[in-house]
Amino acid sequence: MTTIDPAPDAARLRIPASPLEWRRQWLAMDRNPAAIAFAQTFAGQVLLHAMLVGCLLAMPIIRFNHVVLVAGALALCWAFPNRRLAILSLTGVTYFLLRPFKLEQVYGEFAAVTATGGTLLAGEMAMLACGLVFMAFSLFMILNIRGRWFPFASDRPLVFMFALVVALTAVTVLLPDGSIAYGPAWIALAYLSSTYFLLGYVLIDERSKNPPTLGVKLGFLRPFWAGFAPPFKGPAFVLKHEAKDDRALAVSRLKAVKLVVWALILFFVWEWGFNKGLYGALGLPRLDAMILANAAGEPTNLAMRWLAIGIDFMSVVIYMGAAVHGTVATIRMAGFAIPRGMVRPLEARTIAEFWGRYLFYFKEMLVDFFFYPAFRRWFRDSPKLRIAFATFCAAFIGNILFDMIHVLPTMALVGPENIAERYLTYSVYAGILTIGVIWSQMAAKPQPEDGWLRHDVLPRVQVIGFFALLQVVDDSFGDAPLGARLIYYASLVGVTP
Amino acid sequence: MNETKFDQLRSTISTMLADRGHPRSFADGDSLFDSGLLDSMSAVNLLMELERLFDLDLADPDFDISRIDTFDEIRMLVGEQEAA
Repeated sequence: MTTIDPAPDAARLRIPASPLEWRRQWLAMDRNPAAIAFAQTFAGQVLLHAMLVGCLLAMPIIRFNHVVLVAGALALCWAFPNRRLAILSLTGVTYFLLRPFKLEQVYGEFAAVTATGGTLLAGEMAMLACGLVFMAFSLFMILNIRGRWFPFASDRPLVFMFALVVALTAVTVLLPDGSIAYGPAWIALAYLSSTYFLLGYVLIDERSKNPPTLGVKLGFLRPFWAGFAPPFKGPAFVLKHEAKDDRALAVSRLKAVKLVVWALILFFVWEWGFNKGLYGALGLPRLDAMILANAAGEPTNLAMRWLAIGIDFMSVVIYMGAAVHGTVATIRMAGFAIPRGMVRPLEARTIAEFWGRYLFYFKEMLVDFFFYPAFRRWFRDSPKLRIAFATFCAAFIGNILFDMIHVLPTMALVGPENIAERYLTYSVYAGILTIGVIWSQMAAKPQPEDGWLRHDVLPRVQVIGFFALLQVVDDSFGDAPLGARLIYYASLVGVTP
Repeated sequence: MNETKFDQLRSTISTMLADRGHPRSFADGDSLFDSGLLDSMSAVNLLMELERLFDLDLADPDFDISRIDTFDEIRMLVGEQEAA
């Protein structure tokens, strides 16, 4: 670890008199020379790391075991700052080998497949061996982009991997469980579907200006901060934001602490304000409960139906804010000052802008994987159609695929019809979202000269209203059938069953 | 000839920056996208402008959006594609 003696400025750290002054100084601390100097001292580094880990533990959005991994990785990055990239590789590879899948159900099936002779090994040894084989496949994919031995896989790596996923899914669904090919095919599908987007970024990055080393790339098959969220871009992007000196590292860590404290505040608002307050003490019904009750013909109040949507929307935005900020703060503490993942979403004046402000990295992933490739290849003579089609590829196909790809290994277990039924509602959600985004890209935008109401107020009301109403069909778990959700829309204008 | 086109491109980027509430001026080495000054929709408009002005082939599998983060890099990309 690198520490310096407190700078003379550190002595000028003064205690603010009022809460507003506290807030102002807190928000400006990553630009405050005294705070930056303190953050470079041993005590400052201990304090900042302890605050981050403490905040992560206090908001159980991330599993305890994952926080332990994060704490260990951060401690190593702190102790050996000049070996940060090697630590990133080591922890990433370890994390990938031990926890390669996203869904618990997939772990259960993996154990069953390996125990019944799908592989020569069973249990954790099988997982380790399969993980190493998949890493060899990833390495081959990376090297193939450099060598172009198989041009299709090299020029269109995402399409090639998607074709593999589709083929493996078909094989696992069509082959009987006892078939000799079922086990290897299912295992390959489990690894590829769980790593599709992370490996995708690793492959895309091979064409970036400064491609990372192979070791770093393998570490990004499951970087230690990765969870259920979309990838926080690829290794080239993260490395571009790496702190280059002690001062930059201190600033990155101060930004991390600011963000994780904000995440904790949002979590407490969600937990105490919504879960224990509105839904608990006041007994307000949750949106899904209202949808099911309404569809069952139970009497529900019109105002309550609207209220349930508003509360659900705010609750989801606040929870997502806490989760995204917690992860970005972790990455910043490791020394990579990447931009925030959510920035004042309710200030968005268009539907497309809301996506960028609400879930920046998810939007970036859809743009990188679906929008740009489609935009560069299709309808190049018709600008509006070109943008509309690329938007469809991102907001509809990409959106559904991101959610669906992780459950494809379960298709062989529950049947294609169950998966299709589960995603019927979500496809309606993605369809409405796509139309909204395309419309917002094409429509004329109000200008400042149109006045405060038309420029500042009405667009924001429209955007918030659109996304709040969209919550009714935002369901990728099949919690309530599509019919019940459409009945709920009708009931919002007084039409009830 | 190309300098006139680069001036047009610079003007387009200035307008994009102003539309997003930033100062119109920028240096050739300033990061436009990674810094957050411009978003992905601005990148789309910039790509269309590059195609229109310089007849670039963006469907080239070696093209990556990270290669146009600064004006200097855009100049380099145009130079590379014209030389190819």
